[in-house]
Amino acid sequence: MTSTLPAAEPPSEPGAPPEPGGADGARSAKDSQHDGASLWQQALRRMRRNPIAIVGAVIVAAFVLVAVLAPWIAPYPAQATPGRDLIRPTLIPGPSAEFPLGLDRFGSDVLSQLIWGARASLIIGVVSTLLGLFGGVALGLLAGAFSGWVDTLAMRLVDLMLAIPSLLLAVSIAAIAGQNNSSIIIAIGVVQIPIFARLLRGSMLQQRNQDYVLAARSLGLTRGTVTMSHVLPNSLGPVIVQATLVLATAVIEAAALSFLGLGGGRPTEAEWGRMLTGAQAELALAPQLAILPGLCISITALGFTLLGESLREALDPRMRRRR
Amino acid sequence: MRRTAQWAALAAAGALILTSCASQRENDDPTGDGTGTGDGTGGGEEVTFTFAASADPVALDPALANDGETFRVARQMFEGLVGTVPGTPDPAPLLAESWEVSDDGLEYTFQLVEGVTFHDGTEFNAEAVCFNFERWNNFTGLAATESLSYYWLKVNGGYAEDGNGKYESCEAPDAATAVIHLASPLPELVAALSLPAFSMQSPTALQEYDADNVQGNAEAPVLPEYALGHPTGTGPFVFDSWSPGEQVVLTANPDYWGEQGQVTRVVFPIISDSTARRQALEAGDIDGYDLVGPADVVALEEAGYEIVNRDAFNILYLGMNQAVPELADIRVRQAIAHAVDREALVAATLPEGTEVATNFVPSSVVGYNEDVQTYEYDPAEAQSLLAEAGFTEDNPLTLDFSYPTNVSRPYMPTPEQVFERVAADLEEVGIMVEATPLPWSPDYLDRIQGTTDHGLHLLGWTGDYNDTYNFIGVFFAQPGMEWGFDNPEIFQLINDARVLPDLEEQTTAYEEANAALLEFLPGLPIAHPVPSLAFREGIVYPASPVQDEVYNMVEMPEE
Amino acid sequence: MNADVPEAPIGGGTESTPGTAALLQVRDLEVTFTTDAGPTVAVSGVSFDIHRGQTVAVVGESGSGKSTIAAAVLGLLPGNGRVTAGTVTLREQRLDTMSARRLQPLRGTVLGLVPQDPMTNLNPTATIGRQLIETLEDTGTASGAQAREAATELLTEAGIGQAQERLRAYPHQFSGGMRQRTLIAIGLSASPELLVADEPTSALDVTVQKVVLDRMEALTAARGTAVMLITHDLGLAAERASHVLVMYRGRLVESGPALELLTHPRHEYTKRLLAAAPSLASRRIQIAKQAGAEGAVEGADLLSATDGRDQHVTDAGAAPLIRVQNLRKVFPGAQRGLFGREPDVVAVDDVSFDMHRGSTVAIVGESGSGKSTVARMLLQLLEPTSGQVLLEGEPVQARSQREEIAFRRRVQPVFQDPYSSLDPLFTVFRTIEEPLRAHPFGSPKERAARVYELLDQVALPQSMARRYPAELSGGQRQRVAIARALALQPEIVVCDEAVSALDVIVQSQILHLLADLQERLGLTYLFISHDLAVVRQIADHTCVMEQGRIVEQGPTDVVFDSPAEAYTQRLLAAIPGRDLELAVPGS
Repeated sequence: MTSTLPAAEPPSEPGAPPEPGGADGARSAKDSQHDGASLWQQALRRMRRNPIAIVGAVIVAAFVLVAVLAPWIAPYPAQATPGRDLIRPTLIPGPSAEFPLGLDRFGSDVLSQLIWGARASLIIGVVSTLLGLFGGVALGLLAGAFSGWVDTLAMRLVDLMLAIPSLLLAVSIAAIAGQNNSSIIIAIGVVQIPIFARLLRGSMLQQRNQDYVLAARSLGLTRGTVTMSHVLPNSLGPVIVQATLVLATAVIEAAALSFLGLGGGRPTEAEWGRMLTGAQAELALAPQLAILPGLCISITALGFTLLGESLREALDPRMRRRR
Repeated sequence: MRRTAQWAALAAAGALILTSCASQRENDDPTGDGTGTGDGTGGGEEVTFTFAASADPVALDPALANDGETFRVARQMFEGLVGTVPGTPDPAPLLAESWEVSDDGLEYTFQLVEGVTFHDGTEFNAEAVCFNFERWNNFTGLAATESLSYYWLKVNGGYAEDGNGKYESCEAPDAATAVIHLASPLPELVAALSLPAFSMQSPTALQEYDADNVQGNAEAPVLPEYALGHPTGTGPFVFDSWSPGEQVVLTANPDYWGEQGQVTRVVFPIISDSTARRQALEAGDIDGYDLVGPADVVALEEAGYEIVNRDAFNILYLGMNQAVPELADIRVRQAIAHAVDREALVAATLPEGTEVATNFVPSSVVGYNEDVQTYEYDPAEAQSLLAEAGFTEDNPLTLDFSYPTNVSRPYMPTPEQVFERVAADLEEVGIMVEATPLPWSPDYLDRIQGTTDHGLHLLGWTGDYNDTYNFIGVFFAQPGMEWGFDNPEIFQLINDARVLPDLEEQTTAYEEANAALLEFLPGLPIAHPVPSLAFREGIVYPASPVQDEVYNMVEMPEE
Repeated sequence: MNADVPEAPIGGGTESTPGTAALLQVRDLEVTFTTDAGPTVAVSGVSFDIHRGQTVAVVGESGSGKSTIAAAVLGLLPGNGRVTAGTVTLREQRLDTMSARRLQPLRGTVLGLVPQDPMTNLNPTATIGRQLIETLEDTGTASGAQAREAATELLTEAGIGQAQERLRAYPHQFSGGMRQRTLIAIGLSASPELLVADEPTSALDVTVQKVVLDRMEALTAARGTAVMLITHDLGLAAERASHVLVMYRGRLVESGPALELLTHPRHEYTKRLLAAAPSLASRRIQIAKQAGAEGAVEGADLLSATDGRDQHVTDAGAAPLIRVQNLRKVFPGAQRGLFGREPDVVAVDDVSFDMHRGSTVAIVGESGSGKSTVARMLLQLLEPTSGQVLLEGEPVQARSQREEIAFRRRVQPVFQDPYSSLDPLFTVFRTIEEPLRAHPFGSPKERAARVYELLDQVALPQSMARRYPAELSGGQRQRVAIARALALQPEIVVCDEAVSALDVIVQSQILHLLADLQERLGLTYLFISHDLAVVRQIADHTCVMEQGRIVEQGPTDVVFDSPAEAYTQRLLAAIPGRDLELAVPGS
């Protein structure tokens, strides 16, 4: 019979994670500097080392900054048409000292419109993504937490929603809710619900079979507690990644729906998609009117996509182990 | 012409995504010439004139339609008793060499051109004339509704079956003389007969192909065989084929009684999107198109294309619905009239050559009144009028303002820009604007013509023929949802003037009506925008203010 | 013994064949990985030779660099790894500087590989035959009908019967052992001179492992192929290889003829490795018993609660703490088509055993034998189809929530995979505190005190409390899992393969911890394992399961010393190192 406590493990156990090599040993020493880093903190740290994530973050930060600071940095108020008397049916003045990016066909300052447009895109993107996120998480949670008919019902609902082309759904919603930005928000948000729901459910089903969930159940925790404090938090990773990617789509879809004329409001309303729509009539006269908002849409979407993809990479469970 | 239904905004946008259908244009030009035109010297060579249509014709039988695209095609195949003086809206002899009107205005005697035959060989004579008049008057069922035989209903006032019409009978004392008897005077009849809706059609063909038998229901009428594939008239071109959504093809009528012209074949490819039409022209797929956007005019002109302007025979106005209490106050309406800088608006948003409107009729129309109240641009005056009406900075006037999206009308090429100018002017004097953008058809028209709560709106009209009633009668001769007022005095003035048989008397009466209207100010006339067409270099096009453009008069370039 | 290890290159058996150049010569090898944290040296200063026909084992724990050496030899280092110093010479050709294009033709024909995981190293969409023939044709060994013939022959040689038909089978139709033998056949198809086998059997059951290794040995011996065998099991290495290289933290710490290394280890690490290897411990117990040196058995090797065992023997009539009666679990067959079903699977069939307070009962069996299902039913995580579990004579099935909670306080699990058994989002503190919160236990302060007490008990420093699982090693995680299981002061702990995923030394430490905790807290263990050697060390009573049934059970000594069933005998015979002559500690 041994009575001695096992001698403490060697100062640092040979790195447990799989090969290759001593890399792990060296790394764990480094990581010990960051005592108590949660999974999310670690992901953040990994992203900070990823140039792609930094590019994405810089674009997104610039976009958010411009959107938030629009009232202070835009040369002219939203919807103003300071140059309206300079416009002729066959002449749209280009850049000048007064209007650095020129005017549009209504006599609005294009630079101001782009800045205010960032604000509109941000609001539409964030609110619709949150709508999709909450709706999807609620539905996915329902399906993921209860198996059986609740799950079946929720998933058939999701299938039904997925079967409808998103643009069509969006147009129908706009037709019912009327032409304004809130219909666009609802339309984009609702379309995302099934995607989030499915993602969360899948992720939860995967987590539900992990040993730590069994362990939690063995501790005598109720099903609800296990779901809410273990399964759900661990299942949110892919959902958060998706949300970031949806922000990119939302910016594009908002533009698309505005482009199709679902936006409502004044024609001078500063919204990138609408600026594009307006620009097609003057494509020959003033191509910059189409190019500038188009660039803004693409760059912003790219920023969110880069950020989302690098977040996905940083949260990847395969990366988790190797760190 | 009646405001015609356009593609819904969505469909228009959808068309953007698809590529232009122009590229699908069939090119069976035997010369192999890519532009579809021959050498232009005739001599048995085929000369094709390709003109982009923005939509399919509703029917090939113009008696059952009222839209521009149908009439554009019909004008090539059909002729009426009356035409127009080239380049004007005024009536001129066509199938009728001359006419006489009795003093009481109830009997019209037409002397017909002789030796004319329909495309099917049927002889054109007084009996054929009477056959056509009787046909229009005896429409029943779906055919006798506003959505199909619109013009007969509007001009005549009714059908035989309801007894509301002014037409009584037609007799043919000899082959070349047709006499029309009316129950009550209809002085605009001669001018109205220049409409394609009143074209002469072959009685044989009408009977053979069951032309009056409209089936289906009001939402989806099913047209008879005649209207779908056997139009038979006396015009310079004969129907060849119609592939809905793609194109309509006509060929020259070898037995045409008038001037044959250079063009031997006419193709109307259907291109609903205006950008696609421009691109089709630039690609050489078409020879010309209508409703050129003001912004495209300069670019096309610089690139060597021919820009043809029609004389403006239209009106663009700002409607004010008096069913809305604030707008029932004349001071508010006057304030709005003084607030809008129409000169600047025209300069900034409408095609060159466009005039600011003072009347609801263009100046070329008989009955136009130079001395109406004009409401000069005067923001200070507007503000004081608003203050009088009780609206101040603390209690601002807020108005709903509807405008159509993604549409271009001859009288309103850029609605958004016009809206934005007007709205900005109104805001300048302290009126708050709540924008209501709607797709043109059906939403916008439904809201303006079918609801009572709309405030301000933009709309207009293109005249069909030279007649004041054709403009103001449509708007102001009876109560309507668009305007929301009931002013019996105005109604009376207009309706009385309409039936005055003496042209001079009638002109004075219409002038009086126009003056009364502008004082009452149901809306603000804005402008008479000049519609533009664009053509391949070297083409000479017989532009007409009422679009009476027949392609035997088109001159193709020498090549 | 001497702790000093000569740092000079250690020629693996070069002395025995002077004059002949070694087939593979590795000199001062250094491999560096470029990671986010900067360059990291994974292997350095490694030198050894492998001669024709020789089998050399490279032994070490995960992270010791043994697989990195294999990858460096094969030229298959991952993109971020490079040979930064030293040379690798094969048949007098430098491999480390050779371009990928020139290296390619050598693979298969000169260098063969048997990869670790038979589940992922075969293309699931291609038949076994196609994959074999492809290799034969690519290496230019044979083609066409000839290749087909050669493939059949290879498969037969690899011990797979009906090879002709089996060529048409897909990988999923093969068992793990058959797949691994197929991979060996593929590795040997072009008769390479050196076969690198990277943990070829670590994913296999012990009996299968033996068959596969026997087959590999026979095949390579017949061809005169040299083998570089990478393994973590010192017993296995000693049994199969003539020379053993011991890797520790990227360095070669000791090498020499297998037997010599086992009997006279020089380096401290080798000694620890030897002491920890369960297969060797098992063998030592056996030798000691045969030698009749009863006292010697009670060394570091035997962990079972001796007192408890004696008591168990004496109190045979006393009521057991837990009595498992006729447990049976049937899983309905998977849906097949619209109405059809696969036949039902009987996972556990009529299993009964008793557990006495303070003792350790082990269930051993190969994968699929149903041992984990028994554990889950005992934990009330799975409903038995029939039969029952009695806790102090009371049935525990079908209880109310309150009673279930009471049951859970008394019975706690420790699971196999230390990576998945802890919530990655919970700190160590929160993980251990959770059961205390769930079953209200004192004030926050008292709970904290208890958490630190538990950390003490599992020999983890208190500073660990703030860490997340991702920052812990496997052994540390398993200690946290044990602390969590102990938080509610349970009487029974179910260890479901609790040490199987750990490296041998860590495994040994955890086993010692469990034994110590048992003694101090009077715990009762149900120990589920596939590793008979481990069971021998820790269990008082052993049940051997095969295909859902207990085929043999009894006191551990009895089961191991005189197995009654053929199956048990086969299991025992498959433990590596069975016939090694070992130095018995203390003798």
